[in-house]
Amino acid sequence: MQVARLDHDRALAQHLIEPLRRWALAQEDPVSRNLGAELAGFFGLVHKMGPLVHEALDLIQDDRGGATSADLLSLIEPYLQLGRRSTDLVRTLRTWRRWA
Amino acid sequence: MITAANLIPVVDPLAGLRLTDADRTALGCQGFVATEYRTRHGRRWGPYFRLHWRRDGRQHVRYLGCDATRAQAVRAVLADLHRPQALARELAQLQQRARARLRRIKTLLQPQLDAQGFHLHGYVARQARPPSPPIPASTSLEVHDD
Repeated sequence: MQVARLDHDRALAQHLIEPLRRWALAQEDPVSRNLGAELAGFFGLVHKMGPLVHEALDLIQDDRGGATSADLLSLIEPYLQLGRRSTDLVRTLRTWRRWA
Repeated sequence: MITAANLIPVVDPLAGLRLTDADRTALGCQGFVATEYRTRHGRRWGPYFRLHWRRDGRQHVRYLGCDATRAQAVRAVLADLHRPQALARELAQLQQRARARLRRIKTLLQPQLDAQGFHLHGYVARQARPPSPPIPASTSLEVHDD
């Protein structure tokens, strides 16, 4: 499990976070550079949560969460909300880049 | 169906430690295996392992002996018992960090969009609606008594 998580995090950094960060650093405009760096971090965090949410759902489903099940369940909706916000953000960035 | 896995007896590493139900419930939240060494006549002996946990505000300890395999098995059981809590803590921390980044992104993006005539509705860019033209006097909603 630990090895799988490390592999996932490595792949995430290699294929998503680093290319986004490189793109951000290549921008001449300081706002774009700053935004790109923040976005790389944000998308990295959202994707890092994915396997943890799946594990939480498994624990809840198999009734292995014990007293923490309610806490775990309460963290699913905020995760979905962050996912929706990341989609909104991509649309907003496209609008901004079109007009900038 | 009988498989090899079914035939292997499942041994509870916590068995034989004189744990009550309350102890097991407490171990679901916290507790750890400590490694200790003893010095006698200038010689260092060990490692020896002890299971420590807290219940009703009191520290409880069970001696596990010097078997590293047993200590490892107890550690694995504890990690399994603590996993839901650790998971909830890790997820909450990641969500907190993600929300903080979102706020910073919004702060950076807002002035840029304002300059282009957009505003943020949540995280969606919306264009300000042009003011509606004035209603002509002839279409006023006056009630005429005939």
